[in-house]
Formats: sequence, C-alpha cells, structure tokens
Amino acid sequence: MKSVRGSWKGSLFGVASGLLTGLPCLACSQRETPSVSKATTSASAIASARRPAPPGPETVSFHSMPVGSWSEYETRAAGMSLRQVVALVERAKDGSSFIETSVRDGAGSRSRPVVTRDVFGPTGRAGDAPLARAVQVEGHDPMNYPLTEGQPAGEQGLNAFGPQTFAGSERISVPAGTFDARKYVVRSADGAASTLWLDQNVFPTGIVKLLSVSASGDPAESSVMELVQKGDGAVPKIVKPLLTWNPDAHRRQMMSGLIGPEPLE
Amino acid sequence: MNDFRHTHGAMKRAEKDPEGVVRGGIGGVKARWYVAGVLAISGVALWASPGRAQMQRSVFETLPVPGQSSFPNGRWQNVWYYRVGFDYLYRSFENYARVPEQSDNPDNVAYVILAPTAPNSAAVITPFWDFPIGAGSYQVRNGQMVWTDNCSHAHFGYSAFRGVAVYNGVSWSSTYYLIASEGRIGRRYGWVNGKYQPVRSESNPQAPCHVTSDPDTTGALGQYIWKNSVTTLNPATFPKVQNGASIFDVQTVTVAMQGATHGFGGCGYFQCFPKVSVGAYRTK
Repeated sequence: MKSVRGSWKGSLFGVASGLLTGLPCLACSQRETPSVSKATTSASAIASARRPAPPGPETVSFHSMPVGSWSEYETRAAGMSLRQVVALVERAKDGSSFIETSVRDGAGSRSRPVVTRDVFGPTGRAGDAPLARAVQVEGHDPMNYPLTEGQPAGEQGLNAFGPQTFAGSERISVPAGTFDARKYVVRSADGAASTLWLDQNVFPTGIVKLLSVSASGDPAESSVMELVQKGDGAVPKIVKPLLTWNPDAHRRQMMSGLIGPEPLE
Repeated sequence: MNDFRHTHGAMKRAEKDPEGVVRGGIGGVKARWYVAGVLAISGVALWASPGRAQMQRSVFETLPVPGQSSFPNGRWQNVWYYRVGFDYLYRSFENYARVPEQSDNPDNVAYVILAPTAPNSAAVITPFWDFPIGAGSYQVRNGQMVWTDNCSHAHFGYSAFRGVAVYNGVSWSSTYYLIASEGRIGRRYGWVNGKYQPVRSESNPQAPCHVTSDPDTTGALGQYIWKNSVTTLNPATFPKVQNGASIFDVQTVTVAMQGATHGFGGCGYFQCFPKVSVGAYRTK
C-alpha cells in the first residue's frame, strides 16, 4: 500500500485533472476495465480487478471528480442510525483514486469511529470492486483490510442497478436538498425492492438516496441511506503505514473502553 | 453459518465442536444457539502461578465446558456454555495491584461473539455468577498477592454490540453498534454472626461467602442490585439482506465484558478476581 505522505501533490493533480476533463462527463460513465495501480497489494485484488465488470449504474469515474469532494449520509435500519462521510481524498500519480469512508454511530451509541479506505484504478468508479482496502479505528494505527470484509454474500452493491432498472427521472428531497435524480428500481421475486436515486453531480458516488424495503414492508426490516450534506476540502485520515490485518485487534479497538453504561462504584 | 462472515476463530472452532451447540433453552424453548464463548474471570486460577499469566490463552480463545449453573430458577441447567480462561495479562504484581474498573486495557476485557445461524434470529445475553467465591480470593496488599476474603461486593459490566456491515456506495464497511450495556452486579452473602446475610464488613477475612443472585435492595449499600441483565435482540429488528442491493447487514453480536470484586475501601479498582460467567444464546 502506498503511503499518502505528500498527498497535496495528488490533490493538486486531482484538481488539475478535474479542471481539464470537466465535471462530470457522461463519457466517463462508460464502463472501463480498471487497471491495476501500484496500490494493489494482493493477488486477489488483481484477480478482482481483471474480472469482467457486470452492467452497472451510470456512475462517474472518480478520476473526473475534484479531489477533496465528499458526501455525508445517514443510514437508518433496525432502530440504528449511522453517519457515513464518503470522500475522494487523494489521487495518485498513476491515476488511482483513494476513497475514504468515515463511519460513526448516530445518537445513543458509542462504538469507535472507523475509517475505511478503498483504492480504485484510474478508471474506477462507484460500483467497481476496490483494488485494495485499509481500515483505521479512531486512535489506532491503520491496517490492511480484506477486500471482502463486511460484504454479505451475493451483494452487488450499486451494480444491482443496471441500466435496465432505470425507472425515470424524479425530483427528490433529502436533508441535503432537492435533486433531479435518476431513479432505479430492483425488485425480487418475493416482492422486496431496492430503489436508488442517483445524481452524477453528487461526488464521489452519485448516491442521493438508497432505499431497501423488505417483502413484508415492515419498516423494521427496511433500511435507507440519505444524503445529508456534501462539500469539498476532505483530506486523508489514513496517513500512517498499514499494519497487517488483525481481526481480533480490530474488534478490540472498536469496543475498548466501552464496558458498562456508567462508572462503577 | 453461511449468512455470517464475521465469524471469529473461536466461533469456527465451536462450529466444529458439537459441544458448541446449546442444547437447552429458557422456558423449555428448544435452543440451538451456538455460543461462541462464555466468560469466566478466574483470577484465582491464574494467580496460582501468576508468573505464567502471560502464557494464558487470548481472551478470544474459548473452551467448551458443559455447564450446569445455579442461575435463578435453574433456567440454565440444561444450557451448555463456554467458559473462557480469561487472561488478565497482568504482567506483574505491580500492574495487578490496581486495575481500574472500566479500564481501557483490552486485556481486562473478555469477548463473546455470537454468530447466528440464520438471518432474523434473536439473541439473549445474560451475565451471571454461578459459583461460590469460597473461602477467599487473591488480593493485593502492600504490593503482594495474598489470599484473603475482604472483597465485599462484585461488579460486572458488559456492552453488547451488533456487528454491522453498512454499504456506502463504494464498498461494505464493518462497524459495531452498541445495543445494550449493564454495569452492576450483586453483593456477597455469607455467615456473619451466625446469620446468613449480606457481608457488610471486611473484618471477617475467612468468612465463607459467595455472591448471590438474590437482589439486595436494602441498606446503606443497597445500591448494588443484582440484575439479570438479559438483553434480547428482537428478530424483527434484524434487517435482511435482499435483492443483492442491501444497505445494512447485521452479522454478529459481540459482548465485551469485564468483572471482578473489591472491598468497600477499594472503590474504583478491582482487587479480587473470582469467576464470572455470561451466557449468550439464541432463542430459536
């Protein structure tokens, strides 16, 4: 994994690149085979990068976006509320893009904030598989992060919303404002549905809202991810060399110091 | 187990071990819980050879121990559970002498990891004391470990977390979401002046007494209330992965635990280290 020291160079490069290429461009949304950057660290990552990409959503290449752009989302499900900030924090000289996601609990919960970094090749965009990953729990050194860690089996992410799922344009309001978005709907045989509202001017993923409703329609089994705000100026949070992935240590880091609701007597 | 990827090594061992299957259940409900671990804080055992403490197993290691506890009403009698040889990792007597309660030291925390065998399953987490302290417990006095019995009450704290995978449009991230916590435990009972009663004095170091599950809600120190600390995770609140385009996935339940005892004069620090167990099981 490359070090992100000197990331200002990448940032400048990214800004210059963005100015030159224009933002966004529909041509950039054409699916391209991700190249393998020097940030790739494992054979599995290489294999993943070389797999033919399935039809995906009309997202925009990270390479065409300004470095530092970010979007904050609130995700609600099962009585839980999580805040995520997804940011394009660096672009390497080889064109690789570094996306960092900061996750923290909503009100009423106390697990440690955690940052995940996904590395994409020069043509990478939301929906692609990352080439390499890292994770960092607040106050601890970062680790390499397995590519599949956290991903439920069979999940396609944004790739589930191929062009054939396009359901028309729709004006939608979320906490971040009102957007003229492209709507995509995926339905399963049992009646469950997932709906994506996409706007290519929302960086870096384009997601305005993502709603997943169970077949029963029970709100307790549904989940939603909404854009809360967006901006620019994000900088890398993972700046130290990566340690080897250690799931036990990671788990301890996430939960340390959280025993009991109040001081014991 | 195919639905849950965040299975710890201990859990994997449990899968291979038929004793890992909980064969009983509360209220006669057939339980098929896989119990990834049940904590037992056993300073006594460790400190029989304190210099070897660092050779003990990781707090994540578990050993299957078919247990028959004295949990109220015998509800746990048929439950098989795991007991962990808890490694305090106190490298020296000096470090051992004053261990802050709720310490950030991860070596003072044990973890139980539950990996449900199916989506939408419920979890129940119940810490309990199921043993007599006996004639005493190790304690630090003047920098020396001594066998004594002047720890008057016990504390136990746990926090239960949902292991959550959340999608962000780029990839899935894992995090933990606090769902329940508890920080109290019971008083010690013993024979004092020919009467079985809460131990309110440290003047009887050899008194045979034990921490009871009976609630103790009276007296000047009655705030040390035994609580069953049962946490039930409603199955209806577990969102399902669906359509290949989900946002949320509850994958594990992890319980981080810490517990020990001290005397009235040792508030804020653990001084005695008897055993504490916690059961965690699935209700269906």
